[in-house]
Amino acid sequence: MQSVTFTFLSHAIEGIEGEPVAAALRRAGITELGQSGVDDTPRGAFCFMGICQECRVRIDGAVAYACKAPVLPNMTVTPYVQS
Amino acid sequence: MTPALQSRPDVFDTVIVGAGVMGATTALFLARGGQKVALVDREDMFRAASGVNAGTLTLHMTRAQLIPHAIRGREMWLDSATWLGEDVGAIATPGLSMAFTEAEEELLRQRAQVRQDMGAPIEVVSPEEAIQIEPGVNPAIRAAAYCALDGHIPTYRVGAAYARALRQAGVTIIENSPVETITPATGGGYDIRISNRVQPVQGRRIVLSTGAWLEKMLGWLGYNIPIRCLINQLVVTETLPPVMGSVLSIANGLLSLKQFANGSVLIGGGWQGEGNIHQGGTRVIPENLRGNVRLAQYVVPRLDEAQILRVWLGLESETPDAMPLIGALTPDDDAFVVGCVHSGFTSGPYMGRLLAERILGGNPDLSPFDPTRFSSLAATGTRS
Amino acid sequence: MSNPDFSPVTVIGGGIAGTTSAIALARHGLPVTLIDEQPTAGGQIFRAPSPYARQTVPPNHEFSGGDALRHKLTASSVDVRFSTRAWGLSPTLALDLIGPDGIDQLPPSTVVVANGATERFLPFQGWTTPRITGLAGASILMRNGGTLPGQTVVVAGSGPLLFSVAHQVLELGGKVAAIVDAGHRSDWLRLGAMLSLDPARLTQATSWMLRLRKAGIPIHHRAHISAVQETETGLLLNVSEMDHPERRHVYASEAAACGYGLKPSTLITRTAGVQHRHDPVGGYLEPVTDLAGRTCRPDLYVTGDAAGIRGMAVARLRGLITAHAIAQDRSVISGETYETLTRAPLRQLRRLEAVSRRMLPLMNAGSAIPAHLQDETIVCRCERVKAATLRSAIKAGAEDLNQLKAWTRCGMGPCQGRMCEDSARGLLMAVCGKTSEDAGSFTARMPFFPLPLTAVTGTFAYSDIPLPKAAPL
Repeated sequence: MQSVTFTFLSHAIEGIEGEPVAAALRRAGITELGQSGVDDTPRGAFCFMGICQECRVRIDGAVAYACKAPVLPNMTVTPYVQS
Repeated sequence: MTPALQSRPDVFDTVIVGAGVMGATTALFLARGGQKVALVDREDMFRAASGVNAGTLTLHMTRAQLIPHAIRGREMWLDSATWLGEDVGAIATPGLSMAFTEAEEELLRQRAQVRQDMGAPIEVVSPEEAIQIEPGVNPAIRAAAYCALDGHIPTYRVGAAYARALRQAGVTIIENSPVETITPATGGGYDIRISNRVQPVQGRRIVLSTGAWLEKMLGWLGYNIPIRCLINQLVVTETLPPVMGSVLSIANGLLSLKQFANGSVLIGGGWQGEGNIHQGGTRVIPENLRGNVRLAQYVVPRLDEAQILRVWLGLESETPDAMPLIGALTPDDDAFVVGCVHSGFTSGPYMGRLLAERILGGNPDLSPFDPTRFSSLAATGTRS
Repeated sequence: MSNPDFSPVTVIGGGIAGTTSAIALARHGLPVTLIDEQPTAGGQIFRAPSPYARQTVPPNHEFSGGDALRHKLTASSVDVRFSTRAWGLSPTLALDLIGPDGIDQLPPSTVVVANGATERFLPFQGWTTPRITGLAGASILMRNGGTLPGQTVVVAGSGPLLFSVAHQVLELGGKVAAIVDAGHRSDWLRLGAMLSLDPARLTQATSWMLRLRKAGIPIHHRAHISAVQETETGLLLNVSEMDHPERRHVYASEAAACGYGLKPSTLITRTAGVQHRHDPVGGYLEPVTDLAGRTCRPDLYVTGDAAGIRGMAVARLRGLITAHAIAQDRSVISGETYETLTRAPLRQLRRLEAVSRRMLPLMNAGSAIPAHLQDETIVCRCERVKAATLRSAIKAGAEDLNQLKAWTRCGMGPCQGRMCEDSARGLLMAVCGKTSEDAGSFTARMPFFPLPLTAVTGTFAYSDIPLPKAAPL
């Protein structure tokens, strides 16, 4: 079990290498992963099965599911911004 | 649905088969003109071409001879609050058609010229001017044709608006009712037999506006006009920050690109899928999906950030001379057709209104669209 | 026997059913490709735990069972494609895939659909706050991520997952503020009486219930979360009783998990044009199959929960039987061999199915909820469409789900309507008396989930684009 650090917006987050990004963020007290493109209300991981599309973030620029994507050292996670 | 229809036949002044833009507009103006009208569709209204097309209001892609009609149709869309009763969200934007190779530039100039001659305000502009109008386009552009009178509509909203207007005008809407036969009724008019009803719907006159299904139905009336069915691919992306403000296309007409108010980008242009309108079922051809989307990304490089949300296929019908069919099918003036208009969504409401005018006794010039032009039967009709 | 047919088979879904099936097909000598979106096999139940969960979650049957399954798969000749999802399917069953190396198409083959279940969600006011997750989602977060949704959790919805999730919260050291179940207590008692047929389930259920009772957790039956408000530190949840709307309970918690049972994932089978039927007991659409998973298409089989929700033990048996049936249909084994191989699994299947079917009404206990949604409740999370908008569209003449979608944008967003379909259908049925069949389903479109545009385009030059001939002047 390898403890590593990554960033979400301006926060430094500690997680375990290989665990889902959403799990590490939740232990750090972060549930809001972005906002709805329609009305800017907060959204976060909901179904954890790749169906709801609400946990999508950008990891080092590429769109990924936070419920599934593994934590890697020094990665940068930002919300997936819609219009 | 009218419950009475289930039990006893009801005679309408006009029965319109095919509830897309043209049929529904004809129905609306006939009802407002005092007629008792029924509008029949095999599915829900606006579920075929009229509900799933790219919603482009375009003079670049409309056939040159139809430019005057497209200008009027576009005006109607932009003014839908007045005649339809609600704003369907049509937006006026400029349109840019682009050329990236020498051959495309030549084609661009030729196409711009014939459209100018037909009254379209299209001018060829330099790459610098084009980029000033639309900063997001690929700087590799060689030339562009600019048209001040383009625009777009979120197509999916149109059906609901028509449904409300038609109900208010007193049109009887009969949905999910495939028409099986149309036969002359004893004592005049027609019996329209629907698969899920015992009694036929009866009309003193009929209007066929069934798009891709016209070939079959015209056959019932003795007309043998081959209708080619195009299966156009459409791609919509998730919402994006603004990447374009006008309707973009390329010289050969095989791209349409626009960004709606909510931020989603629609990629069209008539790349083909596979399918059979009679058996149902369509299929996206992966190479055509890739080609269409590559072209879009080439024209607007920032689309590389987009996520593809849906791909679907919409039908478009075309006559052998790619000109519409609008007018009377019989000398008795009791059967009409309206359809097969190239880029028909733009001019559709105007075409439908013209036919309504004609049926109500007016005399609009429909001669270039005379459906009897393909037929040796011509105006002798088939009633016997 | 005619000549054996050793053409390729593709199994979609590496859960218990799909993996079992793939291994058995490979043993029959058939070339098998197994596709799954996870980096390893296991599906939702046997999903491989994260490195963190390995340390924090007490050893359990799902970990050991999953490890054993993955071990067997590794030892087999199955060609695996993990971290890969199917995003399209042609009428000839060519599969469009996206994986670590971008997009790819598998040529037509016999397809075994084993893509399992999805959770049924029903909305309530405020349910889009990120502190609320699905019930299955909470289970995945805890079991596979070793992480609590919050220190205190309200567990709500219907079906056996309620008690599993509550138990997992306790196991990780969290607190369950309440369990809110849409089902009748008497239905659970009837189910309990049948569990003697399924000793594994009986042992598990008994240990859960003892622990939950010891923790003194309030359990409301015939109740649902009707609204939630966010506070500084968490949530304030209103719980209403279905038969006594005047009785309300309020709970505070850091998080809530809510889900209304499982339903088969039908996106792929619907796209393939397989015949489906509405199961009134489960309250869901399922593909029409025989016991072995055969459909109306000879080149397409459905196995596991994708063919109807029956749970883990049945999924394994179904996977096995489907593999043997394919071997028989391909003349790889004789009818007698098929009989021999499937005699014991079929007997076991029939016994377990009786218990599984008894679970369905408990999972579907929330079916009356959509009819009573408050007007302000958001039904479609993606497009933020409210119940009031849907009601007025239905009253204005929207007759089925696809028309409702066109008129309101409900279901038009990135989840393709998978989150709102059940509640939108429920509203259609309640407002204009439609049957489930008349209300229909949202048309399945490709891609099955949003696809990065660059995954389709790749690297290219303008001259690579095969421009069709110009449109007419």
